[in-house]
Amino acid sequence: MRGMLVDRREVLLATAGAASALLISPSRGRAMQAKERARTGRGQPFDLDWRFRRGEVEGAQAPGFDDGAWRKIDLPHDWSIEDLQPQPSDPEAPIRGPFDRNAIGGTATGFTVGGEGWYRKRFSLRPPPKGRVEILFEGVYMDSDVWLNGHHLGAHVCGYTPFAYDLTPHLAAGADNVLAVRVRNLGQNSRWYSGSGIYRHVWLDVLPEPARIARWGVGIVVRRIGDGGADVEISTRVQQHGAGLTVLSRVRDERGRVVAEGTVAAAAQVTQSMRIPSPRLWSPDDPTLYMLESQLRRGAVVLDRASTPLGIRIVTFDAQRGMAINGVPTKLRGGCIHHDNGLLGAAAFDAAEERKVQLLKARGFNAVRPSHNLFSPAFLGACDRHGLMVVEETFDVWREHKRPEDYAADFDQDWRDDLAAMVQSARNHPSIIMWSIGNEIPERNTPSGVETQWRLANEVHALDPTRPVTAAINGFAGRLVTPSANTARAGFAGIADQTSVVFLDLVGYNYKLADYESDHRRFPSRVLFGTESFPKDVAAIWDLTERSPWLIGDFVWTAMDYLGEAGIGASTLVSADAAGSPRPQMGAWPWVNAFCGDIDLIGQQKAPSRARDVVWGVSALEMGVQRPAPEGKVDLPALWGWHDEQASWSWPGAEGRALTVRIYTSGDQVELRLNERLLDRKAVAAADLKRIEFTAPYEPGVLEAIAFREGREIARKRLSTVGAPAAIRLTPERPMGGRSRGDLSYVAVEIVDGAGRTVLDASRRVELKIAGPAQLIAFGSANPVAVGSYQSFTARTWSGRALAILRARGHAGRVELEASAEGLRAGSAGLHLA
Amino acid sequence: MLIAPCYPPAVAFEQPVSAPYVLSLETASLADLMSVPAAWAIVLRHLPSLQPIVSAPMMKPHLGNFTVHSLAAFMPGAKPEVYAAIDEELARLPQAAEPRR
Repeated sequence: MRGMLVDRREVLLATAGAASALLISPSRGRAMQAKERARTGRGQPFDLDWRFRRGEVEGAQAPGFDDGAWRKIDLPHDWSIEDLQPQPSDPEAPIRGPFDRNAIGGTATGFTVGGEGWYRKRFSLRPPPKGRVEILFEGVYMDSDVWLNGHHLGAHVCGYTPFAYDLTPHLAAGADNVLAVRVRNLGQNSRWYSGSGIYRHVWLDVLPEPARIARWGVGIVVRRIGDGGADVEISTRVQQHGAGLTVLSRVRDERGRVVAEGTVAAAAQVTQSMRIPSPRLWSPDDPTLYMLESQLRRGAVVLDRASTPLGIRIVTFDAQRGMAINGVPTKLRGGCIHHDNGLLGAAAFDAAEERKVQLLKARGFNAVRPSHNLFSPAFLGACDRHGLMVVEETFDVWREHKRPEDYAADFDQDWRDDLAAMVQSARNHPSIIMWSIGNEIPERNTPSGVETQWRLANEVHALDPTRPVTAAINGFAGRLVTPSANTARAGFAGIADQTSVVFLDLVGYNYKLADYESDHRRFPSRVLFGTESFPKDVAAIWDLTERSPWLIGDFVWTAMDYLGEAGIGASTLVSADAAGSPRPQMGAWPWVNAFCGDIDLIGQQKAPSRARDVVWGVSALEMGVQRPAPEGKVDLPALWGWHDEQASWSWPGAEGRALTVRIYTSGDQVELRLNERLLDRKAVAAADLKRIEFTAPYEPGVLEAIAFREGREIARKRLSTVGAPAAIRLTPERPMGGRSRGDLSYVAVEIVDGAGRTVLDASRRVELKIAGPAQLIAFGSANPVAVGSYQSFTARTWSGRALAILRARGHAGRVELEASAEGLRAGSAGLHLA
Repeated sequence: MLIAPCYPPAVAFEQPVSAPYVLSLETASLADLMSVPAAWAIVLRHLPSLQPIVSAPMMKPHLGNFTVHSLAAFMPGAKPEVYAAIDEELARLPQAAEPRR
């Protein structure tokens, strides 16, 4: 962080939607020079009517610069997911949609392209403000500079932390203002797909007086729960408060009823204690939210206000009892994810963030590790509402680089601001249960690394003493060291621990299942969990987790497919005698997707998720069939991969071959039937860890598995051979959608047979037509290799499916979609935007 | 009554004191072993497949964070009896062979 910044620790959380009643009306004056008029109020949406140009531009910060030829866009926006050039017809072309075989990021960023981009926006303030005007960027990837009317406001390097600027000194009151933003995503700066540009929301705060609630200045702490109530402490920081001002804090329940309220004289910081009677507690199963309203007042006049969701919960950790939420023992059924939204790239639309959380919850996850950086307020808000616990993390590097141009070069200068931005902007989310200060940090076992560990952990404890600090440790956790009384965390002075973890309250293990029990014996007071694990280990991990209180859960790498780290979850065909050889690590072009997720890039369940469903009790029985390999070949999954199996009994060309059928079940016996003939019946022993294999000769028909426990049937599953592709089916995920520019509608595209069953191996080129008040912003499949654009009206299905994502144009109405493909019956669907 | 836990900040930083140290495959990182030429020669003599692994650019930042054990999945020749033989030879090195930090 450099330049003339607003103190980011001192401005109130402007959560998405908060105070959004205060409006901006787009100017419809000059068609080529859109501008907005802002009124008084905090948290005004500032996403619409920007101009954008990809590439270097000379002098674009000047107010008079002619941006008439620039593209008009609305935020959030990610230029790295946009096509580099028209779809090539050459199948060997080095550029396919947004992917370039020669991209500097290579496999790490999924062959996408960064570079430089510029944004400009015109706006005016009517009436001219007497107080203060600030702009808040939720996230810009990365290395941004912002100018207002030609004045440089500052620069911000980190691509994931929010930042704000005070516009007041340079505003042209009552006249047009021009905001210019330069964004640079240069070199090799990320190990995964980052996206490029202003990919999260922008907000404007127009305050009537200088006195105001500080940004992120409201803090909520639940101190006690019991005796028929909850004791809550609310702190409010006020800037330029002056005399005669008061702070009102009012808590409403989910039905809007006031359940607690208090007013105090304003000061730089005020603290109010409140008792909420008969509270409904927040938990993953019942994520009840209250709302805290904060007002800064002069008499009856409200000068500033903020709304902060409040969840009443107490989370405790110890090695004897494990983790408990409100006293209830709870394991972290977790998954790691990166921040991209699949076909949308990094663009953090609220609807996309919410859908991601809902997909995770539907698969039994109760926790997520947003890796390895602060996620959007919309994502965290969705976690609050849906009950998904969060390990909030920042820093994939400290001072030593993992990539040549990554954040390590800026760490010394920026870490304190970026850490504070994470903690202070997100601390009121009840879903966040701990903070992580780093992932697989290279220098963590050196003396300077140990000191950095202490400085980061201690800073977090100073900012938020209510949550524990962790980090994700791979490999060797270091030699034994003993901390002094001055330095140790409370209660651990003089107790030897390993260098990587000596100042951590909870220890995250990356891929160290083999060490869990031996480490517990060495360090019996250590509370540990898997911050990353291989999908293939799911059953073994949970077998140990469920009988070990000191092991509080696990986060698989990953819960969802993501762009970048291309092919780490791929499987490869090798000769049968090479089946035991080291597993391939990274895919090469044209792989662009990590492909290690339980859920694919468009939201569909993948094979490892079926196994997880059984391990977590979401399902009692699941079945997958290994894709037949050419004779003499076997499929060899990468470390993060899974066998190439599908829930399918449609394998044309494999007639008569013996196919491997994998059964996942919580039962103790399984029967496998083919076309009503009993093929085999097998016992499932504890050592099988809920998984057994059968061999079945392929013939079209119905393959059926029946699971039993203690002689009683508990579940059955059927896979039927489907017919040839016959039609396209379009299915909106919701029949109704919102009409605002921030609203998205998802429409599933499937190739189906004559009976309406999805043809899982169908790869068909589908063309979409859309009529009505929505635009197509993404269309593509979960195919992990680069096959072309994510934004054109044509896409090829993969595994029989594709996904279309529509963005509302800003007004209500009926949207009609039609999909066609050669030789198939066309599909159609409609949805209403209100 | 449920009471919220508290994780207060500490007073000041003082470098923690290192415990006595024995060079072995379990207690030494790759960086530790590589910083003692005699030790590294022993390791490579038994596990020559380690050399290309530690030379990989992606691995270099992490040499302090991996032991030989933690790379077993990538070394076909890594077996308990090989580890034992290496540890036996490492134990015979003079005590001055303390790795650099």
